[in-house]
Amino acid sequence: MPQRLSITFSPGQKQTSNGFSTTSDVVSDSPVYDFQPMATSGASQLSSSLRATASSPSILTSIATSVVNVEPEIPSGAILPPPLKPAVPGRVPRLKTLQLWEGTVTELREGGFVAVLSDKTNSSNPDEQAVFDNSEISPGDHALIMPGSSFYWIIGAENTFGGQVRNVSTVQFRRVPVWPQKRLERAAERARHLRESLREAE
Amino acid sequence: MSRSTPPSTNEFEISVIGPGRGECVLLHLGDNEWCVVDSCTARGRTESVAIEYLNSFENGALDGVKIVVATHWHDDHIRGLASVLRRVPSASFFCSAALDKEIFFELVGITANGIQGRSGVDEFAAILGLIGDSAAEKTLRLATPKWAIENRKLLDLIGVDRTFSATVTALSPSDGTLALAYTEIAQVLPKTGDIQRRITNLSPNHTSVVLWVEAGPMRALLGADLLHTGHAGEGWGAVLSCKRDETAAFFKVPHHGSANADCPEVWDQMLRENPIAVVTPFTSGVPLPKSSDLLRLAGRTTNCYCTTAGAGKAPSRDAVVEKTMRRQVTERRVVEGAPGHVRVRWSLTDQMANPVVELFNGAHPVTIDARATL
Repeated sequence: MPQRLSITFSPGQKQTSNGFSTTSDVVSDSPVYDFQPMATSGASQLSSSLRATASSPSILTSIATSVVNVEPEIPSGAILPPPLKPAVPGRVPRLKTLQLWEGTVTELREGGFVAVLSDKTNSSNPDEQAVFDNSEISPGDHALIMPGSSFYWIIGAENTFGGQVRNVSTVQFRRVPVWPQKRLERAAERARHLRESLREAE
Repeated sequence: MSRSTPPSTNEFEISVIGPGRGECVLLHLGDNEWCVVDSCTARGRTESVAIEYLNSFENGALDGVKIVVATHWHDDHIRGLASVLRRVPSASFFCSAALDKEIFFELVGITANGIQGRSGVDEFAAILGLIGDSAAEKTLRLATPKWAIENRKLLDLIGVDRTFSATVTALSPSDGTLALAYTEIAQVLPKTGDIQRRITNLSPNHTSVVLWVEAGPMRALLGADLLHTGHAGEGWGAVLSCKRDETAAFFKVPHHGSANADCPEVWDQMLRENPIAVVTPFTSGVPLPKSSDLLRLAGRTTNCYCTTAGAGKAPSRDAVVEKTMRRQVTERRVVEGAPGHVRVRWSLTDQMANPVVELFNGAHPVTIDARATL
């Protein structure tokens, strides 16, 4: 058996002074993977771990034995790299909106829909009508596609973690609440008052 | 003649303005007195094209507006109408009698509490709110809506001091059409549990007010968006039953020239031979008129005109945006252009004079080779 030189943790475990782990009764608030000490980067941690594993005199023999006995030993000492970090510290994904429309579905068609687009980036531009294919819409939004429903269409340039720029197009349907009975009743009541007041004013 | 040249006091004018989605008809009824029928707005504007046109005369024409008529509640016919009523508080305001029903007020009230925009109901909510506020404040008192129904005279300008007499009479909606209209409104009224969404113009146009205009010896028929159901007592069938002995020299073609609004008997019985006919295109949704509609109209009269020459030009955008748009959508077009304008003026003191037809901002004649015009 290879000697366990590396240290791994699971939720609820904590590091002990002798390098072995014990289960704690208290669930830690720390991340799932807590690589202590974190003095080096993930890559160097991993390589040092492998170096430590390879330095064990019995490792090659052990692997050979495992192969012969068809009992592959799964190394338990591998250290997982930490979550991806920005290549440049402080950089986060950022979307620069180039164009924003508010769309209203006016008609359903086979496998798609027609919408009138109102330019919210430049309001002096005329409304345009466009035909969208349902395959271009997120499946979760399909149930929202109906005449009169409203959506936003954003075309933009996204700066990725890696500092690259990619063009994105997102159609997102508005999630609006259903009409509650009380609100409809209130609106109807107001309508009755308005009609009566107009009749009185005649 | 320049577009901003006002009509003479003895001239009867009919102006039809349409940007490709919507229409507005203005009638000069002599002595600088006007009637506004429906409303639309120019691109990026909130005020009606009627205000822009009447103000361009610089002769107080806007103050001469006597009545404002909303033929029906669809967005393409009443956009900007609230701005007209705000500017002419002394004018009478007529709506289709089909809207004098609690169910329509309920629709207006509910829509005003839902998703706003792109619906004629919103404009109606603005109008009714405006009227309600003015009644409460008692400062700028706007006229309460009056209801147009078949054979109701909406305006009667007579008097010895007038250059010529003028009347405006509603020929619809009929009783039979009212029932269809109520059904139409009930279908779009939200119910408990329905998802909030905009009211789009998917319903028929059974509430439309058709107008018969008499100005001196001239007669005009304004067809609004009334459809031809083929049944007596409904739509154009009902209008035929209250036709006059005289025939009209001008026809505002109903419902953007669509086939389902075409009633051949109207051409035979209510219009003069070869009348001046004006059609306003509708470029949103299924575009109207179709080529077949233009051919039909051009076959009925050689004096047919269209307010706009198709949709406007697409705006130029960032190359990345354009490329992405092309990839994302299968079809794309602009749904409105500059408001085209067909203007017809008759001199009513010179009976022998021919009407003067002027075309502005892309308005054009419809010829038998209609397919080339759109």
